[in-house]
Amino acid sequence: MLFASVPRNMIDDSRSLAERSDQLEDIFTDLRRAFPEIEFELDAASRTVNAQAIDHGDIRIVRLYGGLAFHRLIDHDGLVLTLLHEIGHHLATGGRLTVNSKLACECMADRWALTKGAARLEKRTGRSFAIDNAVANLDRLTIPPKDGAASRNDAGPRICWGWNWPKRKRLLAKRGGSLPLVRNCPMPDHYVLQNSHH
Amino acid sequence: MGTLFPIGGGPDNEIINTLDKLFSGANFKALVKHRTESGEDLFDKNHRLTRVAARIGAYPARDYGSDPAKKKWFYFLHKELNKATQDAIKRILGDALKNPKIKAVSFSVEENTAAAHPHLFPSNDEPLANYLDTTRAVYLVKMIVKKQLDDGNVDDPPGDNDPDKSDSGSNLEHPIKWPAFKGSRRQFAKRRKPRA
Repeated sequence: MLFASVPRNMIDDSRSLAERSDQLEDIFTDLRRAFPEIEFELDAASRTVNAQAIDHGDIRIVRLYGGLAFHRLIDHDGLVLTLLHEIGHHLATGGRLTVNSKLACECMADRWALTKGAARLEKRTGRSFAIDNAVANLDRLTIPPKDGAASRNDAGPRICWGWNWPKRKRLLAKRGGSLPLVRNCPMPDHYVLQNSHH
Repeated sequence: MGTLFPIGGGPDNEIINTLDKLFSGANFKALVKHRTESGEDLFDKNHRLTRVAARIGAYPARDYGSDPAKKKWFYFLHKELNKATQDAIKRILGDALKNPKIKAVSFSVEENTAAAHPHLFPSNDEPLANYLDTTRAVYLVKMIVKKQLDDGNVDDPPGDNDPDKSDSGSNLEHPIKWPAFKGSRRQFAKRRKPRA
């Protein structure tokens, strides 16, 4: 959010922009119908290539930033998976993020997106997406990690392996909708431990 | 805040984790102890956030190639945070170190192009209780920023030759004693005595 970690590559011709805007409007309309408990926002002015699940007390927001919404290399499937993943942070049960115990961790958000989230979206609106295409789509956006920087994943319970996005994506593509629970995920234990101090 | 691409790939993750680690557990206790033993209030009006950040190691330290993350972070603290936001952060962190009910401070960042300038959520002027989480033992410092930092805006932190000073010009700084590093030692099973 403060530092750009995914390269920008935004659509710049008016026709493609108009097509993408229409596509986004359709997707958001369906998501609002399928998940009325969530507020969806498109921050079109932002050039950040990302999306975020935001918890403002009673208000649960999913915000898609312009850099991702209008990225040249993303398509329908990538956008739907992205948004379902963010909804998953709000609605999934199980492991939590250390920074905010109200939000599900990355693994649980993925798992929810592929199972309950995708099913509810299709049932209520008829919208579906191809997981392998969505994952390949998002893969294209990321840069290969630099030595000693982006690839490094601190050991210890504060960072779940789920932060390792490339590994998570490979698993997603391989397992499709049956992403297993991570047996060695330390987050639930850590969460319990952390809260027991309070 | 959950994000699609882990803020994680880069310095965002590093700075948030560094801040969380500094303001929780043994490090947080060390900062509390520093205040009580030395009498130095790291977040009073005479201390600069940039100098304190440099002293306690609250900055992204890894090499991010062409991204001068550390210098951009110090520019952010020094030039992009206005006085009201700096004071709001100091108010929370200062209270965290003197209020025995507080066990940690948790940091997060949210981007919103509607924001006029970086500020705390919901605002800089909330009563302190409004920044507490549901356990009432953790302060939540949630920063709202308008956009990502520009690569061209860089700044260096104040060095040891530029310490924080009192109104009368005396050096306010005392060395901070951090918890000793404890390496984990692998436990091996006892070797059996070889049979004769």
